[in-house]
Amino acid sequence: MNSLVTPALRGSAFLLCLAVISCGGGGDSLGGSSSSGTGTGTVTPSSNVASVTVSAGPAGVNAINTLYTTVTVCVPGTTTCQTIDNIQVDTGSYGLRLLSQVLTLSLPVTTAASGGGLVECTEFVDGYSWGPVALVDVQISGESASSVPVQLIGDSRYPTAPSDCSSGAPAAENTVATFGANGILGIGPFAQDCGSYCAANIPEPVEYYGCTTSIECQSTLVPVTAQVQNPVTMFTTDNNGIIITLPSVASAGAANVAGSLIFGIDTESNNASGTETVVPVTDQGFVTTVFNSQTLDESFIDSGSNATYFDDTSLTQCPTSGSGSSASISDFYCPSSPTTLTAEFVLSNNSTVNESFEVASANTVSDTVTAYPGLAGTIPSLTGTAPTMNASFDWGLPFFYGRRVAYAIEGAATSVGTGPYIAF
Amino acid sequence: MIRKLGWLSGTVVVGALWSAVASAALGEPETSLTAETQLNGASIKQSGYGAYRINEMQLPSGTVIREYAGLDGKVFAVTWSGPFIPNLKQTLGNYFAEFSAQAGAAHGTRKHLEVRQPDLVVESGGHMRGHHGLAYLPQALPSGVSVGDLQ
Repeated sequence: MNSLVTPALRGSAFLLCLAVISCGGGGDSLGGSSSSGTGTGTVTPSSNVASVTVSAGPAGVNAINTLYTTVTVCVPGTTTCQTIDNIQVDTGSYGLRLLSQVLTLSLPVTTAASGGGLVECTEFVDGYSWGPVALVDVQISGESASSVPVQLIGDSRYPTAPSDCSSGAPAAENTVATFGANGILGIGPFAQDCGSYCAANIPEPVEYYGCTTSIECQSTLVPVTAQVQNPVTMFTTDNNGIIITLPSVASAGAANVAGSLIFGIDTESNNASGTETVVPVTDQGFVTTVFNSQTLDESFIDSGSNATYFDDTSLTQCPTSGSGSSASISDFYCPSSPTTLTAEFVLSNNSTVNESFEVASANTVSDTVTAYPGLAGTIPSLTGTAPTMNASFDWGLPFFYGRRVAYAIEGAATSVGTGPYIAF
Repeated sequence: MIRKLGWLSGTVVVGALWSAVASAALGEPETSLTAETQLNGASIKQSGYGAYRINEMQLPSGTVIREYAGLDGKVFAVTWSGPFIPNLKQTLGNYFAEFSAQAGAAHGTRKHLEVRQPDLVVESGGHMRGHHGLAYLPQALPSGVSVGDLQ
């Protein structure tokens, strides 16, 4: 529920947004950067380039540091299609998921191995999304993929999630308002949302169900190819990874920042690898960050996180204020002035590369801002002297401002490495 | 309430395993190692650090759970790490209701959720295929132990 962060951060902006026709529209890019040579901003339109925008999202969502794009989906093999905007671009998940609330196509549900319709409980950290799997043809910019398994979240044919579904995360995110987007395009470095584990085992909490009626569901194994798929891997071309480019954003923030989503790595003239830093990614999608002398080996670089989340007890946290916990942003940082800190990424040869990042007050975000590079929040960590778990640094969308970030999909060989990796 | 006999039978294996592995939850007595020795699907490690003990369990899914118990045998903290979020209804026990109520008001995103109450702190983070989390009871920490120092 990305939106929950913003009413507290914005105050009256939330109400203002509801009063006007569109909160997120417009296309004024920041800084006018359009040079592919600098690796920032937007790149020249091409068949493998989709436009992306850091906008407020669907009406009423009032998102911050959230990247959206537009996707066209079609009934397989037909020209019966629908173009859907405000689809969140997420490198921290795998697969296309659409909110049934905005879907006008009639799509049959795929069949589960155990019988009945295949329905998924997708566990996000703050909530779950429940809905069946269907096949669609996907078109994004000039790229296309046929019969891609996608999830239809909040589908009325399966109205009730099993109680097990809420055992990892308590809140249902089955509507545009609670999900914060019309859908999500998971284009991280893996091809499926679960992979080989769910083809041979039932995870707990259960991820996939076969539902013989609208409410009677049992856990099911799912062959890898029947799972919800990262659509990029099913494109006919440019299918080995993605690159996101966004312009720099000033400390004060900006509105409706435009960038590009480039498909493929080393497949076209506009996606060639160069001298970038290549960071290895574990099979869980993690990288290793060193910060304040702590080695944080469950860190991640994620376009779907709306802030930089890390633990630094020397930074001033925002005051607990207002009435009710929803008005408190004490789990964000509120330094008196923007401050620049430095962490490191650990590379495959165990060398490190420095990474500077900004922390600015979460209390001073202008009402009109949708991109705020200094937004940073806390992570309570166990940082004892022995290796511990919970050693994480979440590099959210602020990491992407002013640079070009590539994600190579597992097994994909490019001129600078074999996926999964992240390069910038 | 709907009937879900089918999926219940589908999950009973893992559920039974869990209940044997970790009959304990936050605020409750620590895992019975006697029960654990009867297991064949989960690996268990126990280690002591003076003021507290750690029971570490690896679930079949690959997710590792550590429970931290004081010398009184009560669990005051749990952590998890692995490809799947564990069943937090079981891991948090009686505190799941408080977690659920507060999580709705927290500034959660799909990758990060933090609940801070005087008697309960929960942080859940990560993304698809890689999750981690920490939950503890601030008022139940053993004397002289701070959360940041836990091994």
